Amino acid sequence: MTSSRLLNLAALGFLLVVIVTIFRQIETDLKEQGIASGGPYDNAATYPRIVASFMGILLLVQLVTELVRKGDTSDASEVELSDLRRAGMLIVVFAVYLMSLTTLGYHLATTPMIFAIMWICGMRQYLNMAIASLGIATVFAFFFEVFLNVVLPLGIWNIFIPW
Amino acid sequence: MKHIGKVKGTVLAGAFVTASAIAALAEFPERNIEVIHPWGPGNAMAMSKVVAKAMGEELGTDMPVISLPGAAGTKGQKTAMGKPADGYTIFDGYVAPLVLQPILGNADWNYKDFKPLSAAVANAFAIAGQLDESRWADFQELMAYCKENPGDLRYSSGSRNNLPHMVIAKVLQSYGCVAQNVPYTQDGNVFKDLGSRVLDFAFINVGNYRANPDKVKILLVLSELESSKKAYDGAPTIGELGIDLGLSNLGPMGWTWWIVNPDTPDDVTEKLRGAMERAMARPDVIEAIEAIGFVPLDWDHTKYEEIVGSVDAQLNSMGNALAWEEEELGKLN
Amino acid sequence: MIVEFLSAGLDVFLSPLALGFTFCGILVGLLVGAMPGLGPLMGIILLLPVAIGLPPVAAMGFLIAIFVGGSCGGSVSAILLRIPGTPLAAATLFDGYPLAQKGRASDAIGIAITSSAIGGLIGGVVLIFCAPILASFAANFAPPEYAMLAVLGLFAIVVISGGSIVKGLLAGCFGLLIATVGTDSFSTGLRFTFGSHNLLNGFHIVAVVVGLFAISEMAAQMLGRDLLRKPDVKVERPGLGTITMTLKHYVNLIRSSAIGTFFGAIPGAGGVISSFTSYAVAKAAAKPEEKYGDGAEGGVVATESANNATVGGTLVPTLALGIPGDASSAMLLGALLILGFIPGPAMFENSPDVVGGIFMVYLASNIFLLIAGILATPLFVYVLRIPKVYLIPSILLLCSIGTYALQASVFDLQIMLVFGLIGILFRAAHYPLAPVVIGMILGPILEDNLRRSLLISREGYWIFVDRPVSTILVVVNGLLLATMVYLTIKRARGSKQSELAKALSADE
Repeated sequence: MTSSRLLNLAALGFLLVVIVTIFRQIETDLKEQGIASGGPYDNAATYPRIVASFMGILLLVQLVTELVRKGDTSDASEVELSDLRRAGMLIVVFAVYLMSLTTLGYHLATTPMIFAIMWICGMRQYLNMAIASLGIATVFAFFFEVFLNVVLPLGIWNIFIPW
Repeated sequence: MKHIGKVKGTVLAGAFVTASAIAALAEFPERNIEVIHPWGPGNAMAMSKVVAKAMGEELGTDMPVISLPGAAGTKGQKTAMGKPADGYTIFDGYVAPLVLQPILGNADWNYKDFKPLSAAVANAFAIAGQLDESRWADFQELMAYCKENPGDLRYSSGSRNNLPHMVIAKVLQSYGCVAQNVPYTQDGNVFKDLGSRVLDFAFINVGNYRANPDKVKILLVLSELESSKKAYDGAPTIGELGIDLGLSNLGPMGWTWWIVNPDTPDDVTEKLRGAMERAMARPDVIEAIEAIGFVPLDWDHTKYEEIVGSVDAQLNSMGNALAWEEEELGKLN
Repeated sequence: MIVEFLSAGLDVFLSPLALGFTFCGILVGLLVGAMPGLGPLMGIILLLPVAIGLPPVAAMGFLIAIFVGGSCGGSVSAILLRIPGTPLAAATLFDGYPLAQKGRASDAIGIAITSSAIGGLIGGVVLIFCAPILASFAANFAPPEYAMLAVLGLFAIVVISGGSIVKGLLAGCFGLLIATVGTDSFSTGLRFTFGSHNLLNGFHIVAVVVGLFAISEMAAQMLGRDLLRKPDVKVERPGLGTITMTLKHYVNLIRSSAIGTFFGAIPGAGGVISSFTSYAVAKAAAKPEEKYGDGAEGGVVATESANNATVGGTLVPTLALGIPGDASSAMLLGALLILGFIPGPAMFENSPDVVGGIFMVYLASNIFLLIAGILATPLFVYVLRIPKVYLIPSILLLCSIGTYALQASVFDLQIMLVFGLIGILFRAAHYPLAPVVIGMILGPILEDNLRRSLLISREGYWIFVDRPVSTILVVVNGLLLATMVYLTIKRARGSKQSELAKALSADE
C-alpha cells in the first residue's frame, strides 16, 4: 500500500461524497421545490443527474484501475513528515486568519498572520520579521484601499486608516 | 460599549492606526460608501455608476458600485440588509427585488421596510420581432397567429418570472396567446437568436435596441409614456393598441429607487438624501442617463410611498399571468 | 472589417490607463513567469480582482499582458536556475541552460524575449485576421451549436492535454457540477444552496480558482526546504544585438510561431504542447553542427516563439466563440463576463471597440514585452533572489484581499479556503486542475444551451442533428469520446512517461 494509492482513494472518496450529495439534494430539496421533474423548463435536476451519473461511471473505472494496478511505487513521491507539518501549519494559520478577519479586522489580523507564516518557514530574526510583516500588510492595504477603493474588513472595532 | 471597544481596538493596534480614532470622530462620510447593485454588469450598472459617481462627488467620498446578482435581485437585497445600518451601504432598489419578488412570495420584505433616498432611473421595455417576418405584419396579427397555433411560438423575456415576463404574459393572456418562454441569462444572446430566427419574438430594453436599431422590428412598447415611445423611435405603445394591463406610469417599467436600512440615523439619511437629490438634478448626470436611453426620475423621498405604493398595488392586483401561462403550457404538453 | 475593429479599438486603447496597465501587466507577467511555481495563469487569477475595477480595455490589456509576459518569463529561471518558471519553459531549458553555462546567459535571455515578442506578434496577426472571420461564421450559431461546442471544449482539453483521461474527465465533471450551484435560471428554483443566501448566485469563480490553484500551490511550496534560501544569480542586461541574433533564425521563427498559433487555436492544446512540438521540429530540421541540446540558439528561438504565439491562437476561439482553449483563456473569458461582455459573435457586433481594443492591447503587449524584457532583465533577476519566506505570505495576502474585494464578502474567503483544501487533495492525487476551471466556465454554457435547445425544439433531441454545424459537432464529439476510451485502454496497458508528459503533468 503506497501513499500515492491512499491519496488516490481519498480523492475518489471525496468525489463520491460530491456525487452522493447531488443525488440526495435532488431527492429531497429539489423535489420539495418541485423542480425535479417535468420538461426542460421546470426540471432543474436532469442535467446535474446526468453529469453526476457520468461521474459515477468514471469513478468506478478509476477505482478498478487503482485496485488492479499492483504496488505502483514509481510515482509515490516521498514527502517527509516535517515538510508536511509546515504545509499543514500554513493552512491552519491561514484558516484562523480568515476566520478572525471579521472580528479583528484587516489591520489587526494581517500582521500576525504574516509573522506566523514567516516563523513556520523557519525564519527567526524577530525584528526583521516584524518589520517585514507590518510592511507587507500596509503596502497591500494602501494599494487596495487607495487605488481600488476597496473597504477592507473593519472588524468589530471599526479600525481603518484614513489614508 | 461600542466606544470602549473602539478605544481598546486603537490601543491594540498601536500607533499604526491611531489616525483612525481621530477620523472616527469626523463627520459622515468618513470612508467609502458602497452601493449594492442587484444585477450583473451592463447598462443598468453603468447607470448606477453614473449616479454613484455624482453622488460621491457631492459627498466628497468614493462610492463604489458592487454587483451582487442572483435570485432575481434578492441576493443583493439580502446582503445589503445584513450590513450595519450606518449609511455606508446603499441599496440600488430595483422593482424586481423590492416589489415584484415579495408579491410572488419569494421574499419576506416589502418596500415599506426601507428608508428611501430618492428615485433614480427608469427603463421601458418593448416586444421586438424579426426584421423580415412574413407570418405577421404587426403585433395584432402576431397575436392572432399565436391564438391559432397555441404553444407553437417561442419568445424570451430574458430571465423567467422577471418583470418583463410578467408584463408580456399579461399581454399574451389578454389576447389568449400561449407561447413558450425560453430563458436567457444574457440579453445579448436573446437579440442574436431573434436575429437568427430561433426566437419568434422577444423582450428588448432600450440599451440593446439603441445599439442595433436596424436589426429588429419593435412591435409593441410596454409603456404608455411619451418618452418611452420616443426612445423606441415611435413604435406603437400599449396605450395606442388599447391594451389594458391595469398598469400605468412606472407600473410596466423597470426602475430603481435608492434605499437604505430603516435603522439608519436620521442625520445620515438626510445627508445622503441631499447629496442624491443634488446629483440627480445635475445636467451632466441627466445627459449621461438619457444618452443610454434611460429616463432620469426626479421624485424625492417624500413621493416614495405614493409612487412605489401605487406600483405595488397595481402589480398585486393585475393577477398572476405567470401562473396562467404555466397552466396553459402544462395543458399543451 | 478588420480595419473597422482596429480603428474602433485604437480610440479606447490610446488612453493613459489602457497603455499604463498593459505595460504594468507585462512587468507583472514577467515576474510571475520567472518565479518558479507561479505562471501566467496564476498571475491572471491573482490580479483579476484588480482588473475588474478598470474600464474594459484597460482591464483586458492588463490581463492579456500578464498572459503574454508570463508565457515568456518562465524562460528566465529556466536559463539561469535550470528550473522552468512555468511548464511552458520546460523545453527552453534544453538549450537555454547550456547557453548560460557557456557564459551566454544574457544572450539566451535576450533571444528568449525577442523570440517571444516576435512569436506573439505573428500570433497576433493570425488573431486579428481569423477571429472576425470565425465570429461571422458563428454569427448564426444557436443554442444547439453552443451546447455541442461546450462539450467539444471539455472533451478536447481532456484528450489533448495528456495525463489520465479518466482523472481529467472526473475533474471536468466536478467543474460542471460546481457550476450548477445557485439559482437555476430556467425553473427559478434553488440548487444545492443548502439554505445559504450567499450561494444564491453560486460560487464566485475567482474564489474557487484562487483556492484551487493559488492556495494549494502555496501549500506545495511549503514542502520545499529552500524557503529561506536566496538563489545566487547574476546576469547582465541583454544587448540589442540579441535581436539580430534572433532574426537570423527567421525560418525557425516563422515555423515555430505557426505551430504555436495552430496549437493555441485548438481547444486544449496550449503552450506546453506547442513549445515541445516546435522544439522537436526545429531539432529535426537543424544541421548537426548546430548542436541542439547543447546550447543551440535555435532551440530557445523555437520554444519561446511557439509558446507566445500560442497566446494569440488561443484568443481566437475564446473571443470569437466564447469557448476557451486553456485555463488561462478561461480566466480571460471569465473576466470579460464579469466586465459585462459576452465573448462570441455578439461581442463582435455590439462592442467592436472592445474587440478592437483587445487586438490592440495584445499587439502592444508584445511590443512592450520586447522593450520591458530587455530593459528590465536585471530587475527580474533580483526578484528571483527574494526568498520564498517573503513571497508565500504576500501571495496568500493577495489571494485574500483580492477575493474579498470582489463582493466584499467574507463568505467568498471561506469558499476560497475550502477549494484550497480540495486543490491540495487533487494535486496530491495527481488530478489535473485545469479541467475544473474549464468545466466551471463551460458548465452554464452547456446546461443553458442544452435546455434552451430542447425548449426551442419541436421534436426533442433531434434538434442537435437537424442543423448542419450542430450535426458535425455531434460527430466530432462522438469521435473524441471514442478516442478517450481507446487511449484509456491503451494507457492502462502501461506506457513510458515522455519529457512532454512530465511537463504536462506539471502544467497547472
